[in-house]
This record gives sequence, C-alpha cells and structure tokens, in this order.
Amino acid sequence: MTDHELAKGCLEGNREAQQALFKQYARKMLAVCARYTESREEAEDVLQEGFIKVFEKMHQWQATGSLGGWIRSVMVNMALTYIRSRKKWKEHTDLDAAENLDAEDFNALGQMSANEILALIEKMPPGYKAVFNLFAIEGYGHKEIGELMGISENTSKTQYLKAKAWLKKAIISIEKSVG
Amino acid sequence: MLDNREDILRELLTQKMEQAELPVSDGLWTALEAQLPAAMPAAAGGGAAAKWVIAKWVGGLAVAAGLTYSISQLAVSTPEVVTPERTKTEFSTSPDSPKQETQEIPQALDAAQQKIGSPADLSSESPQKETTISQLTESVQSAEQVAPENLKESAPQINSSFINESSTSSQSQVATQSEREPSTASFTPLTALFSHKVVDENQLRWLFIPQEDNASDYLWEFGDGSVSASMAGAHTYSEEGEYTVRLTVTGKTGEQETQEIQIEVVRPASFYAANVFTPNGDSRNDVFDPLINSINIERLSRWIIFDESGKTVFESTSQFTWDGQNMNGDASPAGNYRYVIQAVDRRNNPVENSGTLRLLRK
Repeated sequence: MTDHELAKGCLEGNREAQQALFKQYARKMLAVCARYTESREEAEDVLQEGFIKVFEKMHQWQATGSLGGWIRSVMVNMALTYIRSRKKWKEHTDLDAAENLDAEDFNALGQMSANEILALIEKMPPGYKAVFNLFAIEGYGHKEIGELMGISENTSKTQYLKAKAWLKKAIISIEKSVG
Repeated sequence: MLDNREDILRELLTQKMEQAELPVSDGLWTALEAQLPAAMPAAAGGGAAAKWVIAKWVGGLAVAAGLTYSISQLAVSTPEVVTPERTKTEFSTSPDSPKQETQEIPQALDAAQQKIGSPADLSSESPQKETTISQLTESVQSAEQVAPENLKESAPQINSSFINESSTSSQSQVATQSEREPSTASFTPLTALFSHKVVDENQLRWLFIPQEDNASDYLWEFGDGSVSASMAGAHTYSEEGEYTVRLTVTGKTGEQETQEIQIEVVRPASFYAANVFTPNGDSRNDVFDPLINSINIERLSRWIIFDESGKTVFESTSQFTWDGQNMNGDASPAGNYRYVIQAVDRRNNPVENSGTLRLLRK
C-alpha cells in the first residue's frame, strides 16, 4: 500500500490500515525513540504513545511531505514530552573538557553499521542524549533546542560538546576492543 | 557544502540513522490496539462517515479552522507588521468583570464544536452551523464590549518588527508572558497567538513560538506546504517569499484555536563584488560591477570611486558599473581604488557599502 492509501485507511478508522502502517514504520520509529529514552522498554512506551497520536492526528499530515517524516516528527515530539515529564535533561557536570571528533573518529563511525551507531547513541547518558539527537540528527539549532527543552542556548551548546566528548571516548573504547 | 567537522558529523549520523531499525516486541501492536478507539464499522462508513472523511482529507484543517477563524476574529496583518488584533482574554474573578457572559462562550463553543465534529452534521447542509457561529461571534463581541478594559490590559504585545529581529534577539515578549505565574482566574482560554524569530536570515530559518504552553496539540502550517506537530515550530524555507504561517492549537477537551500571520522571508541585503577587474576588452572582468553578486539590493542610488590619494575618479547616480575610465574618459592607471556605494534594499531602506578594488592592466 502507498502512504496515501495507508493514511486514507487510517483516517477512515480502518484497523487493517492502522496495523499495516504500524508494521511499515514501527521498526524505524523504534530506532528513533530509542535514541531519546534510557531503555528499550521506555522506547516502546514512547512508540506506543506516538502511534496512538499518529492515528489520532492523521488528518494533520499533509500529503506534500513524506508520511515517514511526519510520523518521525510526531515520535520526536512524543519523546521530548516524555523526557520533559521526567526532567531527564538536567545538566550533567561530570565530564571533562570537550574533545573534538577528528578524521579517525569519522572513519570509525563511517565503518560502523547504522545499528551499531544506534546502540552507541542509546547508551549515551540522558543528560545530553536529547540535545545530541536534536542537534546532530534532527537538524535543530541550539537556539531552537533551548526553546524545545526549556534550557538556555548555552546549555544546549555545552551539553552537545559533552555528548561529543562522550562519543569520542566511546568510539575509542570500541576500536580498542575490536582491534 | 560539508566544510566543517560539525557538518560532517551531522550528515554522517543523519544518513546512518535513516537506516536504523529495531525489532519491535511481539505484543506491542496488541497493546496499542487496545488503546485505540473502536474501529469504525465499514457499513456506517457508506454514507455520512465517508463524506466526512473526504471533507477532512481534502480540506485538511479547513473545516475546524473555519470555525475558529470566525470566533477568534483572526487578524491577518500586512507583511511588514505583525499585530494580531485579538487580545488574550484572561478573565479575572473581580466583581466588575463580565464573568457570566464570558463563561457562556466556551460552553457554546464546545457545543458548536460538537456539532462541527459530528460527521452527520458536516455531510448535511450547514446553515445551522453558520447560525451557531454567528451567534457565537456576537456573544464574543458583546463580551468584549462589556469589558474592553479588562481585555486590553492583558493583551500581549506582539513583537512587530521582524525585519530588525536578529538571531541574537532576546526572548520575545510573548514567550516571556507565558512564563508568568498561572492566573488564579476560573479558566484561561486556549490561545493560538505566537511569536516568531528569524534564527538564520541567510538560511531562511525561522522559529515560531506559541504563547500557549498547555495545549494538547500543536499544528504548524508554514505556508509552503510543510507542517509540524512540534510545540515550537521550526522551519527552513527553501525560497524567499511571503508566507502565511498558521498555528492551530487543540486543548485538552478538543477545542481549537487558530491564528495566522504573514511573514516575508528574505535574505538580508548584502553586497559582494569581485574586487579585481581587468578592463582590457577580453570580456572577462572588464568592468567592476558591485551588483553582480549582491543580494536583495533594489537599486543603487549613487556611488563614488576614489584613488589612493583620495581624489574622486568616478562618480555616478545612473551608471553602476565602472570600466576603469575617469570622468574625462581617460583610462585610470592600475592600482588600488576605494568605492562608496549608496543603495536601496528591497524594503526601500537605504544601505551603504564601501570597499576596495584593484584595477589591473595587462
């Protein structure tokens, strides 16, 4: 079924269409949710809530954009709501000065599979996980992230630096264990 | 494009994450399904429900928005100034406030929305709906007439001069207002008012921030076909232009409010001129053209070129390329020159630019 057929079926409250939409997008969207939550269980909770919202709000999708992109934005929003409700973005101050990723790190990242990188991001401490995801993957600027998460632009920047420092350490430790 | 590490990292991760998938627990769909409203029976979908779906599908939010438009007396302003006329109606419990009149509105509103929301009503004729709306509008107006002072006092000051708003501008007043202590009033009506910021003028990146922080849903329509369901609407326009940005908020009980503003998305005026030119007739770089790579300059009004000693070599209010000849028609010698340009940008604001240029003779 095409996105349009799926969406139309869901709009009509058709259970098969809803299930088909779920089947088509659940795995991808779980990977999105898992980047924000602390555990897979939480990610599945967010995924569930997210899909309920998707079915509820299906009429808001405009066929000019991709259905996957729209569902993803609903999921990210749901994940942020979840994080906000748990105040998990509180600043972590337990990290050393930021280190920049260099060409070697990019090489290492480039050679990893999508799911290996995902596993890495999942392990990232909750303090800066969301900021990292919003900036590096969802493409928001720090100013917007500040608005979205109720933190200052500067906090977003420092949390992002910490996330990168953490990522660098994680990449290095993986390389050691492999090579 | 990818000129720094940040961009490389972002691009790399974004691409990788596009491919990421995780296995979903077996029982998840069943658990989810249990929370969904009962499926619409296929038989009932034949008549009214099918029409309802089509209306919703084709019109998007037009149906719901149509209602809120007339109630909220939506103000669409000129592109230059954004001043929604509707005031935030925060009702106080003071004895002289029109408590009784105003509290009737949300009830009537609920009733109207139930009508609108009902499939049968939509598919049938709409005169009854219109009556309800006009009655509602009247009652809103009469309530406002009773207590204009009360209403205006709490009216938010929408920041209006988006032209001068830079990415470094501080929190808008609207956003600040929403952070204040919750009112002790009996209820705070849902509001769809929002402020806007230019995050990056050159990238055409805008951010819209709702005043309402307690809605259960936000829908942003950015006017170029894109939408967002985030609380704050962030959007990068792909082209300059005038856009109507619309926010529809949905409250806990399903009530909706809509506001829209018009924005003009333009890059800032800027000059960029290749500052070396070789007037030797080979039709490559033969003239100095300060407009060639400039952005959003409407026209040049006057410019002057000086030589290194500060003597005016060329001055014009009509000819805006320089071929290296001075006012007497003689070829100027190779060397460094300085220019001052007065121009008018697309908004008719004067802009001035100066720089150096190097004339080469081969």
